[in-house]
Amino acid sequence: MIYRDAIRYAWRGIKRRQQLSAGAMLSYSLVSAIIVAVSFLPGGTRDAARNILWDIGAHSVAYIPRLTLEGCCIQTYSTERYDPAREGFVANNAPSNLIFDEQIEMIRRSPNVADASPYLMFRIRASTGQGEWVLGGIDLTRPVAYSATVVAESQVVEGEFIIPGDMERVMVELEFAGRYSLEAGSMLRLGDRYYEIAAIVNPPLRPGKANIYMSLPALRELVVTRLDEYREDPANAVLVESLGARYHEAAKADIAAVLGQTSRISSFGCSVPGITAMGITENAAWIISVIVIICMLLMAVKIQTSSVILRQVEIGILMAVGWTRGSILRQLMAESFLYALIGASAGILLSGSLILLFVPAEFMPAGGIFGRPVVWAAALLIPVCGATVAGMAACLKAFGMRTAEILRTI
Amino acid sequence: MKDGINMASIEKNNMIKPKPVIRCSKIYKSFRVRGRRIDVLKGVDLEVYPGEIVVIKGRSGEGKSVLQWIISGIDTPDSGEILFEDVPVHHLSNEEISIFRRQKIGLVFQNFNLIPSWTALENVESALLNNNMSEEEKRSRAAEILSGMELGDRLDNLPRELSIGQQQRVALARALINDPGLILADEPTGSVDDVTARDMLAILIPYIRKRKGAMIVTTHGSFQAVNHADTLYLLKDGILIPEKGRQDYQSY
Ligand SMILES: Nc1ncnc2c1ncn2[C@@H]1O[C@H](COP(=O)(O)OP(=O)(O)OP(=O)(O)O)[C@@H](O)[C@H]1O
Ligand SMILES: [Mg+2]
Repeated sequence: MIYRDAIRYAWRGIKRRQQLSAGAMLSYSLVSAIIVAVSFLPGGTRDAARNILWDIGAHSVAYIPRLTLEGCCIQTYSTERYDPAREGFVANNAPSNLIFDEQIEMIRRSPNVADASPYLMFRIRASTGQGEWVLGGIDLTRPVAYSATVVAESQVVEGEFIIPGDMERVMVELEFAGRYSLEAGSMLRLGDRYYEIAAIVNPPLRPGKANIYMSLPALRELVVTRLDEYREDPANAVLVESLGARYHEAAKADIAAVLGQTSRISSFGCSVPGITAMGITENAAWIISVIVIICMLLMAVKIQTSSVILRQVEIGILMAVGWTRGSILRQLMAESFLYALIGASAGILLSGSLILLFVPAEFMPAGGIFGRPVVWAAALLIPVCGATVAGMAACLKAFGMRTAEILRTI
Repeated sequence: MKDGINMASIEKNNMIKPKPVIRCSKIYKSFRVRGRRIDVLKGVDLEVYPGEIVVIKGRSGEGKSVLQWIISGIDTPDSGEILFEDVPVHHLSNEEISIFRRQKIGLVFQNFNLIPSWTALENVESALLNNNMSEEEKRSRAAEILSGMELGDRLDNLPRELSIGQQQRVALARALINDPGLILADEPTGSVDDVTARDMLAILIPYIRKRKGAMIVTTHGSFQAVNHADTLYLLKDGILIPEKGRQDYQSY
C-alpha cells in the first residue's frame, strides 16, 4: 500500500515537472546507451583499440634491397618478352631480393613477434597506357600481420574485402581506381589475365603500399607467367607484428639477424609513443565512456537534488500535514527509480535498435546483439544504482530542511 | 449562544473534569538571531478539553504561530511538556509525531499553505496518505468533502485559479478530512474578508460541536471567533493571560 502510494505520487511529480524529469531521464538513457554502444560497436572496444594500435606501429615491413649497379634485376626477369627495367620484384619502389619461407618461419618463431607473414610485391607493366603498376600479394590468412602494414578491412571504401580463396578478385587503391575510372565490379587486366575488382580501398601511406592487392597465391600464379626462371612460392617482403610496442625493438633486432645486415626494416610508427599510446588506446574508449557515464550520473544527481530545492515548499507542507520522512523518502526514491527505469529502457531500446539497424552482423560479437546478457544487465543496473545514489542525495537535501523554517518562508 | 449548554464549561465548573485533549505546561521557546536571543514563549500553560473552543488573542509577533506549531509538533519547545491525550508528544519519534499529527490534528494555516502545483483535490487528498484506502476511495472521499464546501466543480483547479475564500475552504477540507479531534487554526481569517471569515466559522464551529472536538484559534484582532470562544486568552510577553471564561464573556 505505502509503496503504491509512493509510486503514484512519484509518477504525478514526474508528470508535473516535465523538463526536470526529461533531463534526469535523458541522463540515465545516455548512460545505458553508452554502455550498449561501447560494448557492441564494431568488434567491440578492444578491437577498436587494436585498430588504433595498428596505426601507431608495433609492426614493420622487412625486405632486402637488391644492390646492383644497373639499377635493376637482370637475372630474374625475362629479357625477351618483357622489359626488365620495368618489371620485377620491388619493395619500397626499389628492386629487392627474395625472402625464403624458412626465414619467415624463423622470424615468426621469435619470442618478440606476434605474427609474421610473407608478402609479395611485384611491379608489372600497366595494361592500359604507360607506366607500371605495383601489385601486392597478401597472405589473407594472417590479418594481424597485413592489417597494420598493407591494408585493413576497415579501409574498404566500396565493395568487399577479398577472402583467402579469391584467385580472380583484386582490390585497388582509391587513387588508382580514380585514375582509371574503375569501380567495384569492373574487370582489370594484369599481364594476360583478367581480374574482377572486389573492392576499392584507401589505406594510409604504408611501407607495403601497392596499387593493386590480391591474395598471395593469386599473385604468385601471375608472377610465374612473367618470369624466365621458375620460382617456387616467391615472396620478397615479410610483414611483422611485434608482440607489443614494448617488444618492438627486440623484434626488429631478431628480423635483422635472420635477414642479414643488408635488410631494411621499415616500421613507420615509432615505438616509444607506441608504448605510451598502447596503454591509452587499449583502454581509451572505456575510460572515456566511464568518465561520460560518471558525468551523466552526477548530472542526474544534480537535477534531482535541485528539484528538491525547488520543491521545498511542497515538501514542507506535506510534512506539516503529517507526511512522515519515510513517505517523503519513498516518494523521492520512487521518482528516482522511475527516472532510471524509464531512461534506461529508452536508452537500451534506442541504442539496441540503432545497432541492429546499422551495424552489420559480422561486426557483432558471437551470438549477436542478444549474445551478451551482461551488457543489458549493466545498461539497466548502472542507471538504477545511480538512481539510488541520486535519490539518497535528494532525500538528504530534503531532510536537511526543517519544516518550521520552510513554513516561515512561505 | 444558541446551543445553550456547553459541556466543557459545565464540567469545569463542577470540577468533574474530563481528560484534556491537550495539556501544555511551562512551554519555553526562544530563537537566536545573529547572536541575540529572542524569548518568544516564556512559560505557556494551556489545557483544552473536548468540545472546547479556545481563542488566543495576541498582537503580531507575540508568538501565536510559534505556539501553534509547537502544539502540533511541527516545531519543538526548548523546555516544557505537551501531553496529547496523556501522551507526551515530544518524546515521540519524528515518524510518530507525523502520524499522530496526520490522524488527530487538523491544521489551518495563517496563509493556507496549499501546494501551489497541486489541484484542489490533490491537496485535500494529500492528508489521506497511507491509510489503507484505495486510490478511488481517497479520491471520492476528498471530492465529497470538497463538494460539501461547494467546491465540487473546482476539484481540478490549482490554488492560484481559486479565489481566496475558495482556497481557504480547500485548506479547511484538508484539515477536516481525517476527522481530527483537535483543530489548530492559526489566524484562519487573517487574509479574508468578514463574510468569508463568517463562512469559514460556519463550517468549523458546527464541526467542533458535533464532533465534540476541540479547537484552538489564534487571532490578532477582534475576529468573530472571539464571539464563539468558550475560553479566551491573551498571549502577551510570552505567557497566556486568561481573559474570560465563557460565563464572563456572556455577561460581557
Ligand atoms: N525561526 C525563527 N527565527 C527567529 N525568530 C523567529 C523564528 N520564528 C519566530 N521567530 C520570532 O518569534 C516571534 C513570534 O513569531 P510568530 O510568527 O509566532 O508571531 P505571530 O504572533 O504569529 O505574529 P503574526 O500575528 O504576525 O502572525 C517573532 O518575533 C519572530 O521574529
Ligand atoms: Mg502568525
